[in-house]
Amino acid sequence: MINDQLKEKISPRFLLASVVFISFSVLFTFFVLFQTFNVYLFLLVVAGVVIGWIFYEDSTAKALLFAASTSAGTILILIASFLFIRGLPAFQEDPIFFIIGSEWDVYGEVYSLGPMIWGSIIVTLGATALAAPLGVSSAIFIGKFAPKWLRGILKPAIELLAGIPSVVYGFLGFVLLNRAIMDYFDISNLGQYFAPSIILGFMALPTIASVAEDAIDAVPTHLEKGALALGVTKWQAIKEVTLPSASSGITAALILGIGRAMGETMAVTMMIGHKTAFPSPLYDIFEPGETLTSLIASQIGEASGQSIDALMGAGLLLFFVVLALSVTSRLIQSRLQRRFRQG
Amino acid sequence: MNINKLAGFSLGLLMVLLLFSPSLFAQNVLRIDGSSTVFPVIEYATSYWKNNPPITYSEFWPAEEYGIDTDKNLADYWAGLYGLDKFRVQKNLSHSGQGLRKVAKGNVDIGISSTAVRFEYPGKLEKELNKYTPHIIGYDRQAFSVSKEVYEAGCAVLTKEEIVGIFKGTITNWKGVNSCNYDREIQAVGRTVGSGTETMFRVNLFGSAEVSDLNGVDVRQGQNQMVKRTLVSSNNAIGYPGVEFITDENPAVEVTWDDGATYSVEDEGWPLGRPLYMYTWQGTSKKEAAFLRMILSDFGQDVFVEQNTDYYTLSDSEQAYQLDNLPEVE
Repeated sequence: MINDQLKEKISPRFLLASVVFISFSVLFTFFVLFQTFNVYLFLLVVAGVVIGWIFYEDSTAKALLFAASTSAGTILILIASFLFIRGLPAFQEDPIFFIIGSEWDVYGEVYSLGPMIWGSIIVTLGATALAAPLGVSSAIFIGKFAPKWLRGILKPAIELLAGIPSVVYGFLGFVLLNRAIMDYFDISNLGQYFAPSIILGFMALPTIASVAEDAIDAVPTHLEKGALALGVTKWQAIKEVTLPSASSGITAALILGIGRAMGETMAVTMMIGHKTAFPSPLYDIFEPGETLTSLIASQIGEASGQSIDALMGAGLLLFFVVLALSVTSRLIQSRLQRRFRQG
Repeated sequence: MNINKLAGFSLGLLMVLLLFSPSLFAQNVLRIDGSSTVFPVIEYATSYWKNNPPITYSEFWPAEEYGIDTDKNLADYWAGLYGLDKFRVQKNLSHSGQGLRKVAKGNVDIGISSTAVRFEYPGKLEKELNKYTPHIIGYDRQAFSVSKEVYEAGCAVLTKEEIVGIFKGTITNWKGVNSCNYDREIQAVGRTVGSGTETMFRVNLFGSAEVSDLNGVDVRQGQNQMVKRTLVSSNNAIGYPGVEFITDENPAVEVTWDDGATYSVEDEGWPLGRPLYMYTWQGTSKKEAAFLRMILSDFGQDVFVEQNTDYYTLSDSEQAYQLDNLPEVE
């Protein structure tokens, strides 16, 4: 009886709003992490959910599901704003020097990301040069030529490649590849740009292959069949009809792959030489170097004061570059889908 | 209302409470965080403390052997010196910088560090630095170590000038080193900039951490293990791993230093050493002192530093000085 009266007074929408608010507090609690005060806040939230569940199970459940599903977005916003707040000071003093300067000297407190940005570019280009042809070729073969049984083997194999933890790649690279390259090319250093590029290429391969294959799959078969009906060979039909139609999807795959290679940390950190200087000459991929990710990973533990700010700046830069890459790739993908839906 | 549901949620609530209770009742704990270099000593000390062996287990608590007259268990005795009951010790492994940061913030009681605080924070005012109360508990030494092929080619003694030249990039081939007959480019392996090891290496070799032209360093590694791995997998490398990371695959070389004398890594006066610090904040509390006194005592030096690690103990006069710095026992 009383329950019913209460239910009338408190509209589900109001309840929804309050539960959402409470869920945000929970997130906030985890974010500021287990300070004593937050324990009580957390308990309050739990109590609120318990009471809500007992009296208004339906709306509480709905609100909790809503909160859970929005948490990813919320966390993204929190991460972005945290990086922005902490990383911005590094750019404020002299943004141009910070980005293209050539010196990273922790003891002299001079920080610029030039060599690391350059390192990231070299390593990413190297990885893409390996992964792009391999990935796109395997996508074409799996999507168009492979018989069903072979496809059943190849596709999971590529996906499994993505499932190998990056530390395993890094370990193999550090123990085997680094030394092999040193011997083969008769170079005097381990940890050049070259070896991580190869490993990163293999790590970006599954991303490129599977997204490119989706793009090729998405091309309506009547286009290709139309071409075949005019008497071209299968390869001609793929070359002249399917690939051009899927080109934006393949571009999206490449961009995603580049983002993957650029953001990968563990394997690079284990293999690269952590020398924070430009190679000379600039294109010398057999010199030891550093990338943005490996810089952050190797130095954050030892950093204090100003160098933390500089590393946060590096993180901010990296975050936005990788974010921009993946947003671009999404946009291209959705344009592709729209086109074929209309067509 | 469903009574089962209510019971279920109460139980959940209780579990959450229990989950958080350690942080609510964390009063009687000594918290330690910091350098992985100092950590092994702390780890042994903590495990002895935690197991608290009785006096009858003389293998683990040889009080009599060290002239200590007591019938108490190990931790009870050391805590008892300051009129305390045995407390819990919580240790966490991270980096020197983090230990120093946390001890200043009050997140831990003792920050362990492999570098002096004035080298870690060169920009800080003396007044601020003095709030860190240092306790030196032993010494670590780095060896100069080379790839096996280099050693076998006769490069067994290097002068200080040659080492400086290698790391500054003025000597780039092993031919440039006097004792060597080896035509191979040099791969110099450094440590992560800002780390305790790197800082002390610079201080020991150049007199200051602020050296900007170490252009000879080809590779920087974050851990001793990685330095050793690099030396072993190469045939042309030199680096400065901790003494305990010297193997047949990456032998240590001798050095001729400023005074003209030649030292091997085991010799008194070896130039590449550094103190292991335990920092407390603004003086030393009784709780902190109880644990420190155990490590600084003859017993602690022998068991935790000498027997269980490859580190070097304090000299008698240093030990007396460090013990004097602790609060008086009751």
